[in-house]
Formats: sequence, structure tokens, C-alpha cells
Amino acid sequence: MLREIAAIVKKDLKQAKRDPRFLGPSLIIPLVFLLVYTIMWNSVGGGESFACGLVVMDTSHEADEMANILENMASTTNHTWFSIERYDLDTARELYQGGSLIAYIVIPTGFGNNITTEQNATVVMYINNANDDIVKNYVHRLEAAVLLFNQGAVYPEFDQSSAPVSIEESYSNTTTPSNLSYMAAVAMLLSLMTCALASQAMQTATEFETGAIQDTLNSPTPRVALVLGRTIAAIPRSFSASLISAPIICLSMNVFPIGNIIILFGIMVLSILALVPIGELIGLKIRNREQALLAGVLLSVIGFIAGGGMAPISLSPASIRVIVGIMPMTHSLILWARVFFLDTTLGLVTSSLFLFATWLVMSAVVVHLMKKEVEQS
Amino acid sequence: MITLTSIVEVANLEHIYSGGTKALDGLSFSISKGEVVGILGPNGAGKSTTVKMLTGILKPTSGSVRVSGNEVAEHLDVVRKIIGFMPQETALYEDLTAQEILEYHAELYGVPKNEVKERVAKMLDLAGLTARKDDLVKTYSGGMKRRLALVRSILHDSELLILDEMSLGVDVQSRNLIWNQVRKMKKEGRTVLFCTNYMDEAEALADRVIVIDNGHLVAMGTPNELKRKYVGDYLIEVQIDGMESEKGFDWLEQKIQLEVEKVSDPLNGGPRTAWIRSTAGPTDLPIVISRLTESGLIVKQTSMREPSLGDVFLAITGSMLRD
Repeated sequence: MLREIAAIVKKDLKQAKRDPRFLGPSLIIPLVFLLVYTIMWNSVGGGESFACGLVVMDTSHEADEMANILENMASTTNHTWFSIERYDLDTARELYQGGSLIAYIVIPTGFGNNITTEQNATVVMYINNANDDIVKNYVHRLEAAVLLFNQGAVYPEFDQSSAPVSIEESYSNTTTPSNLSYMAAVAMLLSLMTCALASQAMQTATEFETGAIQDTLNSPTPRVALVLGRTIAAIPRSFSASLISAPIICLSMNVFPIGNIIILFGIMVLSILALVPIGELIGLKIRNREQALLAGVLLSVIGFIAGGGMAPISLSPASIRVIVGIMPMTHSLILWARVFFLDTTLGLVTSSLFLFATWLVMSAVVVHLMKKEVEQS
Repeated sequence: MITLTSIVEVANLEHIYSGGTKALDGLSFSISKGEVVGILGPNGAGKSTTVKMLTGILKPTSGSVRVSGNEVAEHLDVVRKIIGFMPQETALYEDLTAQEILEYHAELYGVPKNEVKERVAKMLDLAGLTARKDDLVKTYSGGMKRRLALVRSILHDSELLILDEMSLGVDVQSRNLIWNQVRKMKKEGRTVLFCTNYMDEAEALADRVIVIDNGHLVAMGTPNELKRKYVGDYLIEVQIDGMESEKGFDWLEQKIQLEVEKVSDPLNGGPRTAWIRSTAGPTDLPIVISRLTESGLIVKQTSMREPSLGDVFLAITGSMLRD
């Protein structure tokens, strides 16, 4: 069987070398995404669509005043301040954990009393630390509210050390990447995923459309060897897209991986393995080069957006997280973003196993369909 | 008829497509080792369906297809090694060269590694493609592609070669080359089964002919047997003047007392042509002329020839157009 697999790999790679059009979508799409995202983030500012909760546990006049500032303050930019709604502590905590609130601010009991007795008063902000840009945006706005409360914002010479409310910030999590860094990193993976999925869909559809695959199907080659051979050939083919897109993105966006390169390489291989049989399935069902290419690209883009390519998946509502959790792209992105920005292998097992299982299951489906292809009417 | 030396045994084969169309209905035949057999039939008769079942591409709805004693549906892997198949559509990897395609095929069919180069070179030579072996297939003409498809199907020394419309759309030179390969294979003792719409092809190559129509086997035998049975030893063609339109087939048969194959319709009152079956051609010809003259008709022109498979085919399947 090894001989057949080697022959199929050799044949597929020769074809890829002679017709490199498969690289087109995998190079264009990530760059278009990056461009759109950069323009969007710079012009809109980001973060406005996320809701923030406000929990006022103190009944004092000072707590009311602080809450009013938070609710009514104008943005320091031309953009709107995040939407803010009052909740009780339990509801705010529940909504925060469910992903409906990006953050919530607590004005605790004793806030007013501490100010009047000239002790330290505290306002606590809980924020989903999934994205550094969002964190910074919200923290800066809370700082602005505190300054307004202290009346120090309009007097630069105001001595903060004697302010009624002091600012003392501490981050419980390590720093996360900025939006643009995150987007640049995942765009590299998008290039690879699009190539793995769309090029395989396109190749399989073309071979069925022209009938060229019939020679292989009519041969005694086991169907497992056929699917394995095509999957193995897809690995260097997909990497060829990354070899072009990754350096361009790294250098132009000044974003370089912090995590282990070998692990990143492994994540790429796992992603290819999971996506190639899906591409094969698309090609097998559609059997038209252009339509299969379109379907492959669409699925890559949808999987990328839904799976956390545009915003971290932890910002999505819980119900959507469940749905996108079954998509291999989601797990590829989770693994990739984590290892790209952190030198850790913690929490990688589930997603790695999911990608591996996807490869096995989808390959079994394709083998079964390939068998049916020539054995049944 | 199933014999001990049969390489192909088809019994009560039936195939119904998913739309409900019955493509084959109770088809039975066998092919002996070393035979060259042609399957003839109008378009949609079931020729390609039969071939697809022999190669395992389609599963029969009922009935049995055995190749070298192996039930095709159950032992596909074994059967695939025995068969060399050239499909009707010349489907090749256009981005590969002829040499690469043959090497790929050799690997898939398990040709011994030390023989691959030699066999590929031999096949390229047989196909007349040695000079173009490193050119991409997409630059080849239709005939070159067909020749390549043929040698690809015989590369792995198949016991049974199945050719579906082997010379479809190729020029005379390519057709000759393909025919010569089939003759060569026969000399080597290999079995060849082919489907064709070209009667001259069947006549030139086939030891035996199977005629299928509407999924049924309607005739089977050597070309000469079929000619004798369905047309006669000779076919007399007569151009007759003075035969009114109301006088037809039956009237003419009664007058000449021989079997009439066909009579053309009158065209603007002009002469009509009749084709008459005869077992004693040279003797029958003057008798036909004399009887026609005695009936008041004018014989303008006559000719006599041995019937072709085309005559047999039309006699069996009729001249109605098929889709």
C-alpha cells in the first residue's frame, strides 16, 4: 500500500507544481481580511459593541455620584462610550460568565463611607481579558471616570495622592495580544486553512469533473491508500501557501511568534489533516471546479470568523460557542493563538485531540464514499 | 452458454438506474479466454452499462457477473487486477506527461518495480508517443490521448481488456494503430471485449459479436453467422422504376419470391431502391431481374454484395432513430 500512497503523493505534488492557481485564494483572503480589519478597527475604535455591567452595592451619595459619572460620561474620543446597564451582583456575574457582558464594574458597600472617613475607596472592574485592546480601552475609560469623580481631570496639577478615589490597577492575567497582532497571527493560519480546504475541494472536484480520477478508482488501489495519499500530498501543498503568506504578514505587521515553532508546526499539520478530508468531501459532492473552490473558500471564511478569527471566541455568547466548538477551524485558531502568543502547551490537549478525531472521522467518511463511488449505482 | 474456459460469465444481468430506467434486462453471455468479442447496439441499448458492471463501476440490480470465476461485486480488488479498462471518455491527468501517467498507472497496478521503466517505454513506443513522452497531456491531440489511454489499459498485462468505444473521435491513423494493438493482443492470447458503434470495427476485429437492444441480448454469434442468419449470404440492391407508392414490401416479396430487407419510399415519382436477401447471389440476381420485368417494372440498376455487419445490425435493431 505504501507504493500506491507514494505514487499518489508524487502525482498530486507534480500537479500542484504545474498548476499553482490553488495558491490564489489562500494568499488573497488573509490579506483582504487583514486590510479590512485594520481599517475597521482604526476607524471604529473597537469595543463599543460590548456591553458593560454596573453593580452599585453602596447606597451612599458618593456611590450614586460615581455611578452617574460612569453612566453619563462622554467618550474621550468621538465614539460612544460602551453601553452600560445596572444589574445586581449575581445577574452581572452570571451574564459575565455567559459572555453577554464583556465587563462589569462593582461599586462595593462602604464606598461612600470610606470616602467620608478619608480611607481608600475602591471601584472594582472585572473584564474578560481575552484581548488587550479591549482591556486597555475599558480600563482607560474607568480611569477617566475616576478622574472626573476626583475633579482631577480638568486640573492637570491636581494631586492624585489626596484624591477621594485612588487608581490602583492590577491585572490578574498575563497580557493578551492587541487586536491587530491577534488578527495578523490568525491570518497566517487562515492562509493555511484556506489552502488545505479549498485547494483539496478544487482538486477533487476537477478530477471528478474531467473523469481523470476514474483511472485511480478503477485500479486495485485500496481506497484508504487513495485518501491517505491525497491527504499527505496536501500537507506540503498547504505549507507552500504559508511559506509565502507568513513572512509577508510577520514582516508587514511586525508580529512574530513567541511560542514554540515546532508546536506551531504541529498545529498546522493537525489543522491540515482535519481540513483536507472536508475539502475532499466538498469536491466529491460538488464535482465542479469553480463551485467547489467557492464552497471551500466560503467554508474557510465562515469557519474562521465563527471560530474566533475576527474576535476571540470567548467573547461570543455561550450558545454560539457550542456550535462553533464542533468546527475544526475553531480548535485550530484556539491552539494557534495560544501558542503563538504564549510559550506554553497548557490546555492544548482537547483541541489537538479534536482535530485528530476530525481527521479520522472525516477520512473514514471519504473512504466510504469513494468505495460507494465505484461499487454502487 | 457458460464454458469451462470462460473468462467472463454474465447471467441474467439486470440493472435499473435510480430514476427507474431499466438499462439491462436478463442479459446472459459468456466470453472464452483468447476471444475478441464486440458488443454492438444502438445508443442507450445498454453497452456501456454492461461494461461498467464487468469493471465493477456499477453494481447489478440482480444477476451475476463473473470474471475469471470471481463474482465482480464481491471480489472487486481481484477483478480490478485482471481487467484493463479503457473508458469511453478519454479522461487523463492533463497536467502530467505521458510517461508520468504510465508510471503512475504502473505503480497503482503493482507492476514489478524493475519492469516499470521498460514497460512504460514499450507502451510509449506502441502508442507512437515516445517523441512526445515528456510533453504535458493537455498539449496532445484527441488521437494521441486515445492511444495513450489504450496503452495505459494494457500496461499491467491484463488478462481481459475492456474497451469502450476505442476509436471514438480519432483519425484513421490512430484508429489503425489501436486496431493493430487489439489484433496483437489476440495473437498473444489475451481476451478483448469492446463496445462500438462502428460496424466496420466489429467486423475487422471481433471473433464474435453480441448485439444488445433495449437492455436485451438480441443476437450473438460470429459476424458470418449473423450475416447468414439475419441477412443472407448476399444482398441484392435493385433500382426499380414504375413501382407505385401503394406497392410495398409485401407486394415485392410476393413477386420476386425472395426475402426483401427494405424498400425505399418513392421520391417525386422517381425510382425506388429495394434490398433483397439471397443465399445464392449470382444465381438469384438474373431471376430477380426477370421476375421484376415480368411484373411490369423497369430495372434501372442492380448490384450485388456480401452483407456487412451494418446490414445485420439494421436488420436486427431496425432503422428507427434512438436517443
